[in-house]
Amino acid sequence: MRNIATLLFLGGLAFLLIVITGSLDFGAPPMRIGTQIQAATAGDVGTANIVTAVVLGYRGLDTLGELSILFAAATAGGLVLGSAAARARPDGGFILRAGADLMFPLLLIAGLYIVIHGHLTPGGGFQGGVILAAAFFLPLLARPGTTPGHRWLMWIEGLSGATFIVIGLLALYRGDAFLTPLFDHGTLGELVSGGSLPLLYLAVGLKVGAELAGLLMRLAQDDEVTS
Amino acid sequence: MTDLTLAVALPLLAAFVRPLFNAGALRWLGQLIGPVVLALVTVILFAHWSTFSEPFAIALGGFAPPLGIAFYVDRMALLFALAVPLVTLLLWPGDDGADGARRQSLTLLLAASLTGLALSGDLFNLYVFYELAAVASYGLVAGNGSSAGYVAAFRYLMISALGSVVGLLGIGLVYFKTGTLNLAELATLGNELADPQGLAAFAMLAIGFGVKAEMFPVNGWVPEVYGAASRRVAALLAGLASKLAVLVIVRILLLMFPSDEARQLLLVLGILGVVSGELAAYQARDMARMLGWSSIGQLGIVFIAFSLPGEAGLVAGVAAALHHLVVKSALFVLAGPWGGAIDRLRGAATVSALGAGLFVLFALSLLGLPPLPGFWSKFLVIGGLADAGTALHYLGMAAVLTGTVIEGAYLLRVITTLYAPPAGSPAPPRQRGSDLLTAGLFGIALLAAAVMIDPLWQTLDALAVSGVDTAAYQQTVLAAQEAHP
Amino acid sequence: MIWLALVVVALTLGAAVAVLLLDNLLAATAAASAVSLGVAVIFVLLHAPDVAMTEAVVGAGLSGLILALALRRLGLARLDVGPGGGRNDA
Repeated sequence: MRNIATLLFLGGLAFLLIVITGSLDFGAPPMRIGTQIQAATAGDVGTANIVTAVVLGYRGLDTLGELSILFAAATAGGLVLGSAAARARPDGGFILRAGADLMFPLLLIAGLYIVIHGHLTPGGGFQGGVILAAAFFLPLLARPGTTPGHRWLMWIEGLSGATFIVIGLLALYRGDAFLTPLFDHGTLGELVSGGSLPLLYLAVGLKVGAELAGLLMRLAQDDEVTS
Repeated sequence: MTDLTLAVALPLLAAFVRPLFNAGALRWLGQLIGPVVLALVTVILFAHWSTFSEPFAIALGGFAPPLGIAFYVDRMALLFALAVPLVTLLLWPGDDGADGARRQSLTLLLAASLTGLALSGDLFNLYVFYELAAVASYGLVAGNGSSAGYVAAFRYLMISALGSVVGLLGIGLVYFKTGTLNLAELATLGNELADPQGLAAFAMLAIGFGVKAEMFPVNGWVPEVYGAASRRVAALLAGLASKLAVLVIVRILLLMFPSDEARQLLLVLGILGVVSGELAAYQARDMARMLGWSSIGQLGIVFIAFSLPGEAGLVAGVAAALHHLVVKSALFVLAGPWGGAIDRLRGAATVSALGAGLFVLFALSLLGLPPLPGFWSKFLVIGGLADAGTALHYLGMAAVLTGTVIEGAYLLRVITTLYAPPAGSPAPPRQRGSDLLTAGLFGIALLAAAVMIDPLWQTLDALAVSGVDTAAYQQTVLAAQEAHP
Repeated sequence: MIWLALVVVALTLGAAVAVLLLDNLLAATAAASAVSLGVAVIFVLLHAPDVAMTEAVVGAGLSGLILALALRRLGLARLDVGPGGGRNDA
C-alpha cells in the first residue's frame, strides 16, 4: 500500500516535471539579473571570479544563512550522536597509514589554496573547507588512537563564524549596510584584491573545515553500536 | 536609529559563540548570552515599531536591490518580526549540560531565521532562512533524546526535505521564467507569471513553504512531532514558526500571483485543512496530538482568511494568525505535564486550579466566545467570506462553522474531564511554576487584547492598508540605493 | 566534445542504476559517489567550474564519507555479502 502511494507520488511528480520542462523555452532564459551582475562586478566588487562576487557580495546574507544551516546541522548532529568517549579500534593498517601521511600535506595545501584564491579562481571557502576537513580527518582514520582536538576545533569554528558576522557589523558601524565589503578593491586579479571578500572566504573556509572535521570525528568515534 | 539587520545578525552571532562558553569561568556568560541578545533584539524591533512612519527598504551589502538582497520593512513585517524574539524569550529552553548549550544555539538560530523570514524581500533568501529554520527545528525535535523523538524528527526531516525540493523547483521555475528573484521586481512582472506554468510555480512554492505552515497535503508530520518533542519546542513550532511560514506564503501570493486562481487554490487547501484537522482532533485521545491536529484546523482557517481579496482578507488573516500564535503556544505549554491520554486528567482542576482555569480561558477563546479575541478573528473571517460570496466561499464558511462545532465538542470534553471528580489514584499531574508563569503571561496578553480591541483593530487596519499596497513595495525596494536610513 | 559528454552521461546513468540494484550498501554508497563525480564532469563541460568543484567535493567526497561512516555505525558496512544476504530488510 505504502509502495503504491510512493509510486503514485513519484509518477505524479515526474509527470509534472516533464510537462513543465517540455513547455519551457530552453536556451533563451531572460537574464535580467545575470547580465547586470556580469557587467557590474568588476567595478562594484572587484573580484576576478564573478561567482565569488555573487556568493559573498551581492548575496552575502545567503552565504551567512548557509553557513548557519551547516552549523545547525552539525549542532543537531552533535545532539543526536552525543559526545561519547573514543574506544579502542583496530589500527588502520600500513596502506592507510602511509596513504594518510602522503595525502595530508597535499590536501592541506590544496584546501588552503582553494580557500585563499576563492576570489580569483573557481572554488572558495566551502569547497576548500571540505578539503581541509578531509585533510584533518584522514590521520584519525589511519591511527584511531590519536586524540582529536575537539576543543580546538570548537574554538576555531566559533571564532571564524563570529569573524564573518563581525566583518559585516564593522560595515554597519561605519555607516553602510550590513555586510558591505570593506577596504579598496585593489587591482582586479591580484591576490590582495576584492576588499574584505577574501577575509570572509577565509572565515568561511575555517568554519566549514572545523565543523565538518568535528562532525566526521564524532561520527567515526563511537561506532558499531549494534554489531 | 539602530539598524534592523541587527535583529538577524545578533542572534546568529550569539548562536555561533554560545558553545564556547559552556564550561569554565565564563559559564555564566553562556547562560546569559541568549536571553540578553533576544531581549536586545526585542528592544530594537519595538523601537522601530513605536516610531514607525512609513515603509522602508534596506539594501544589504550596499548593493541596490534588483542585484542584491533587500529587506522590506512595513508594519506587517515588523509585527511578525517583533513576535519572534518575544515568544522565543518566553519559551526559552533551560540549560542542562552540553546538550543545553546545543539546544540554546539551535533556538537562537531558529529565532534569527524566523526574523529573517519576516523581513526578507528576496525569494531565494527566504528559502535560505526557511531551510535554516527547518534544520534547527529537526535538531530541537530530535534533541529530546527519546527514541520517539528520533523517529518523529526523521519523519519530519523526510517530509520537510521533500517539500524543500518541490519549493526549490518552484523557485527555479520562477527564476527561469523571469530571470530575477527580487520580490519587488517580480511584482512588476506579474503578467509573466500569469499562465499555467506560473500557477504551477505558485503551487510548488506553497507546498514547499507550506510544510512548516502545516498546510493540508504536507502536514502529516504535525501530530507525531508535537507529541514527541518537548512541549516548549512544540509551542515554538506550532505557535511561532508556522506563522512566519504563513507570512511568506502570503507575501508571495500578494506580490507575485495576484490572479484569482492562486487565491482559490489557497482557499481550497484551507478548507481541506480545517475539515481534516478538526475531524482528526476529535478522534485523538492524546493531549499533544489533539492540539497538533487542532492546530492544522486553525491554520486552515488562517489560510481561508488570507485567500480573501483586499484589505479585509489581510486583517482577518493577521488577526487569526496572531490569535492562534498566543493561544496555541500557551496551550502547548500548559499541556506539558498533561501529555498522554486525556482520561488520565480526571480531576486535574482540583490539583492545579490555575492551570485548569487558564486552559478554559484559552479553549474558550479558541472557540470564539464573544468578548475574547478569538471571537473577533472568527467574526472577521466569516464576514469576509460572506462578502466575497461565491459558492466556494460559502463552502469555506460552512467548513469554518462546522470546524468550530467539532472544536467545541472536543475542547469541552477535555474541560469536563479536567473538572470531573478525581478518580483516585494515580493523582493527576500538575504544572511546574515556570510553565504556569509563561502561560499566565500569554493569558494576560489575550485579556489585554480583549480589552483594547478598538486600538488593536485600528492598528490592524493600518497594517492591512500598507500590506496590500504592492505598488509601494515595488517603489520602496527598487528605489533603495546604497544610502539607507 | 559531444561524444565525451555522451560517454559521461552514460556512465553517470549506469552508476545511478547501480545504486538501486546493488545489494551491498557500501558498494551502493560508492556508486552514489560515482554519480556525483560524473555530474561534476558534466558541470565542467558546461563551463561551470565552481559548481563542479562543489559537486565533486561535497557530492562525491563528503556525502559518500558520511554515508559510509553512518553505515559502519549501524553495523551495516560489510564488504563480503553472500548471495541474497546483504541487505537488512527488517
